[in-house]
Amino acid sequence: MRRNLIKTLAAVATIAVLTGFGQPAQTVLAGELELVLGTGSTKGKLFAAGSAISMASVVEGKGIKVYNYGTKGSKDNIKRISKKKRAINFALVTAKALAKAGEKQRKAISGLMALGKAKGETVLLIVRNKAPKKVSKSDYAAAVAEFVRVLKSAKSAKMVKQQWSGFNPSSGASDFKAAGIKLHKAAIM
Amino acid sequence: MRTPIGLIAGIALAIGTSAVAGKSAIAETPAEFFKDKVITAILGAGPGGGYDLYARTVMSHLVKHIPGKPKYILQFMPGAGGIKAAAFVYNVAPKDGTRLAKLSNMLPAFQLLRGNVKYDVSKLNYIGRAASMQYVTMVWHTTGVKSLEDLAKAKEPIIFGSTGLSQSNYIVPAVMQKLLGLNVKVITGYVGTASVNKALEQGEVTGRAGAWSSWISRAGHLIKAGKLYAIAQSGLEKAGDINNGYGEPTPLLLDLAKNDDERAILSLLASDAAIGRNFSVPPGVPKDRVKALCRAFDATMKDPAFLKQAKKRKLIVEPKTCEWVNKTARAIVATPKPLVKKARALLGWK
Repeated sequence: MRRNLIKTLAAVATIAVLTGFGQPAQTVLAGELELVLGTGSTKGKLFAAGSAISMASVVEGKGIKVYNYGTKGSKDNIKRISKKKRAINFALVTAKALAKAGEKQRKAISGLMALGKAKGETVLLIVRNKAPKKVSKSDYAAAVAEFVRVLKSAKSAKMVKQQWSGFNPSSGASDFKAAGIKLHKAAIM
Repeated sequence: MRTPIGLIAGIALAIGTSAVAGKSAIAETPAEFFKDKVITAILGAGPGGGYDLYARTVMSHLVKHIPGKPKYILQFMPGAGGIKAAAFVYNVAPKDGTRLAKLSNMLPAFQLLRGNVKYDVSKLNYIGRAASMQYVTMVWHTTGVKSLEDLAKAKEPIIFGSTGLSQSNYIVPAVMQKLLGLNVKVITGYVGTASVNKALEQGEVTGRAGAWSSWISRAGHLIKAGKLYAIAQSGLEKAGDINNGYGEPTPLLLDLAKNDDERAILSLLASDAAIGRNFSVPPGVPKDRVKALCRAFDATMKDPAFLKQAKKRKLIVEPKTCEWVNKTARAIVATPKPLVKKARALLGWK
């Protein structure tokens, strides 16, 4: 009898794992959303990491594609993500640079997570609050949540770590708080 | 002492294994290779501009025509007028067909005129061109100059606004002034073509040379209102849809060449228009994959879904095959050195 009970419980557990029972409900995106991630110098580690993140978004993600954009680094990224027009959607920034962002820039962005360390500095992932043109707020929110899910997955971590050994996703809440940046709904808590 | 039989058997096994491995690598068809792969399209510019728009539109349809139907992502690598991305694609990117590039149309000209670049256009594998980048010389209506004949007689110079010495908006008027002897002056230092357009409207400058697609998208209202006249187009052949604002086709600057040398210099300087919105893969990519990509590109250019989307996005589509683009690019970089020297001197480049 006990053996049967164990067998039943094991079967239920297997079904639960396979069907994703217990996971937060996901909004399914209507089409494929193309978003841009500002990283850093094309000769640097973060650009290479950005390429792996981009690759992970298309391999692991559902309904999103995140493109890697070689920029001049954190300061440049903060400028580009808070621009009025033709802004990028995500950016990698150091906690130090984010703490120096202007008032208007802070209002335009939210914090998502800390991605790891590069040259001894914490690298944070931020997101532009405003949805891209012709994209609904709900679709944008779903795409951001999907990107966070992709970055948290073990497969993505394996891909990114090949380019950036310091990749280690965590909340980064204290860094965002210190910089006066609100956390996004999809942020790692 | 070891038995020679064991040794022989070991060698035979090693040879057999490597032969099988070699055979399977050789036998891999493009469809087998591209299946489940992700192609990275590297762009020599940032997001939001013409490079981005063409790449997104072409790539979203191109992958459907590539055997094995791979997925794709874009990667933006701006810097040094596209030379940075070209050097990366040429020297660093994997040479297996998974890296495709949408590089600057100025690469062949830069290779000759600037020198010291870390790429060789004659070894790149162009897979096709989606559109030409015909540069059109526009003159403000208040000048009274409506044609090249008018410009040849003009007493007041037409003042062109330019964003930099290595840009076509400098090269075209510089050629008009220094090679063709037309009454033209160039002011450089404007930040972006939008600021030159603004200067045009404010009367600060009276002319600008720019890509036809850029004129249509950014100053179409001024052309429709008859405030700008298209007096010349630069390129190796005329683009059919460009007219001077009063119904006549706009002449080619190339046709003003007085001799073979002038024609060669003008061809070199107008080559960027012909290379246009091009797509390429690095040297060293297996030939069968390059061929598969070329044919996929040709099929994309005829795909009704692609054409519909391009029209919706107001993109000009004037395709050329990989054979045509490769031949043209190789012809440009084969320009004789004395003529290259002359062209360089003409532009004031060392």
